[in-house]
Amino acid sequence: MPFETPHDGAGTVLTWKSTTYTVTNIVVSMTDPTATEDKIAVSHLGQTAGETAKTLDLPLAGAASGDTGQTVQFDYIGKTIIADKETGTLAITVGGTSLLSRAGTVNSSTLTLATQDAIRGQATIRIARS
Amino acid sequence: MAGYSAGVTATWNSVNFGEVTEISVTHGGAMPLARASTWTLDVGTIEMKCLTTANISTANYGKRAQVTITGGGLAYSGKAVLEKFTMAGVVNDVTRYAVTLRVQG
Repeated sequence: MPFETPHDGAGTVLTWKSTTYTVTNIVVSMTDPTATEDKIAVSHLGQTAGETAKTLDLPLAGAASGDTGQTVQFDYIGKTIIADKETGTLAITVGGTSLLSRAGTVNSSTLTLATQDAIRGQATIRIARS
Repeated sequence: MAGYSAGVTATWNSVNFGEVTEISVTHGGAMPLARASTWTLDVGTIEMKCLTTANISTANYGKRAQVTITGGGLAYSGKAVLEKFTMAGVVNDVTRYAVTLRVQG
C-alpha cells in the first residue's frame, strides 16, 4: 500500500550571505562536540567475564577547536564559487517557514565543471550553535 | 570451546601483580641437555604487562621467588627470577609497566 510522503524538500530556499542558491540537496548535521568517546582502556585480566570494561578519562583536555558540531552541507547548481573561511548568515526556509538562520563559516567548498552537465557546487558551512 | 582470559591472578614473591593486561608464558627455550630429559639452560620466560607497580621495583630485580598464575585457563607454577622490568610513560595515557620473569627449574 503506498504511503504519501508527509514532507519533502520542495519549496526549500537556502540563502548564504544574502544570495539564494539553486539547491539540489541539503544535509543539516548536528553533533555534540563535547560528547567525545576518547577514553583510555584499562581493563585487565583480573576482571571476570561479564564485567564492565574499565576506562579512564584522558588526563589532558582537548584543545578548543572552534567546532560547533553543527554543519549544513548543500549541493547547488551555478557558477558561484564559495570561498573557504567566508563568514555570513545561512538561512533555510521550507515552504516559507524558517528552518534555521544562523551565523556560519565556510568549512569547505567545491565547484565542478564537467562536459554534458551543469556547473555544480558543494559547500559545507559550520553554523553557530543556537 | 574457547575460554575467556578473565579472572586471572598472577602472583610472584607472594604479591599479586596489579591490573595485568597481558601474560605470556613460554615454558622451555632450549633443548634439554645431557641425560636429564628436562635439564636445560633456558627453562622459559614469563612476560607480563600491567598497569600498577606491584612487584615492579628495583628492589625485586634479580630476586628468585615462587610464581603462580591461575584463572582464565592459565595455570602455571614454578620458581622464577625477575630478569627485567620496564616502566613507560606516554603523554595523554596511563603509565604502563612490563616485567620479564626467567623461569628456573
